[in-house]
Amino acid sequence: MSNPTPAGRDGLATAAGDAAEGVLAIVHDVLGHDRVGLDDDVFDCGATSLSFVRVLAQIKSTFGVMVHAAELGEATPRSLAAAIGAQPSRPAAEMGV
Amino acid sequence: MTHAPPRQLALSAQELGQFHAQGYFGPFKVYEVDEMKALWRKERLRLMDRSHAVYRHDAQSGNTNISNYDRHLDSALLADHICRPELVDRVTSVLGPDVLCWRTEFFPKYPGDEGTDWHQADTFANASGKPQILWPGDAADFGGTLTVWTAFTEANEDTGCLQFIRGSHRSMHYDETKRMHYDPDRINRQVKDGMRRGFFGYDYRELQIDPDWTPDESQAVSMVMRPGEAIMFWSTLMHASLPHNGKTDEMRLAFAARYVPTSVRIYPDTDVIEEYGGTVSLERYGAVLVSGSNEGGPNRRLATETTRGHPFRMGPAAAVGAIE
Repeated sequence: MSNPTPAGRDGLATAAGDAAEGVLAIVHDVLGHDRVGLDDDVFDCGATSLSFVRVLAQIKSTFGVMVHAAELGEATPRSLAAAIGAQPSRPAAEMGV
Repeated sequence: MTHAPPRQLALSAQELGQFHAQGYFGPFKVYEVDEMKALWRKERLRLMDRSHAVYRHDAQSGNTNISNYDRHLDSALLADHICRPELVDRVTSVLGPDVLCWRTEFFPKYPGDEGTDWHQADTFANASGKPQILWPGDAADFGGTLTVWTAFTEANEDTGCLQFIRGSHRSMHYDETKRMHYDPDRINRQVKDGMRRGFFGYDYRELQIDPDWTPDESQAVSMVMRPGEAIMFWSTLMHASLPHNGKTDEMRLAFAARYVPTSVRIYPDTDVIEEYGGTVSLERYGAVLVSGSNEGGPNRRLATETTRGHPFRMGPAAAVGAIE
């Protein structure tokens, strides 16, 4: 189980909020359009399994966080951002990126 | 003697007669629309964990991912799906009480993807060159599998629904002892009789008994289905699908479950499947008994639970059905 950020619950919310914009940008970049909102299921917006894997890879390289698809509640940018916020980030070099 | 309760969703005599004439039954509801959407949203993410899948990840190829065969052998949701009475009651109406599910496949169609070639399948030797199912000698003229194709998303004329030619299941236009040649570069690049069509890197026309014959598209009927609806049909029925025209961003996804009586030999004389540019080992494969008994049957590769330990739930034994 990962440790929460030092700021506790508020810190988690802040971390997720900071990540949301970045995640949305990644999703738009991978899908090639910006018709995806924070609470949209990315698969409803044209994502494939392959493009979702690309999103996760870019999240890993950008945020230093490995998000596992099978552990997400839903495939929305907000859910991805929350998963990022719930984990401590590690330097990219340490993650082998 | 214990009598099994009658199957609630068994086909009526009239429905069975219609099925035997048309080659298909349905569409019929398996899940409510919103229920299907919610289930699939979650399951799609879970399925990205392939750690317990029976086929290794490196079996991918083209638009058909052979490694997405048989995910019912690791996914609890899909394991329950193939055993649902909405499916099995109807299948046993046709095949009789002793039935195996020998294959499941996902059929994704993304915006812009081509339609699927017209085809019929008898032994499923079409792509691999080796029969994958063989009916017993006394039914040697009768082949094919009963497929239940469930729409996990909208399947309509924009997203690429199924097409059938009614009543075409009794006469084969294709010879599966011929070979098709795999070329993934032709995916989404071919136009046949004015329609963008292909067969996942193959051209099914290569199996035609008469190379100059073309299917009568004027007889094609579209099977429009909502998420959670399913349709049951013989694999020997002429079937195809329309292209996804890209008017919506949502992909079309179908999940097919294939059933045979326990007397049918499954993957005879082979330990691998080799097709669609990939090879998978059958070492972790097992057919699933969804009804009745496998006693006296020729198949020994059986699965009674998923690779994660979720049991396949067999329902009550069916009343005896007739195979025509």
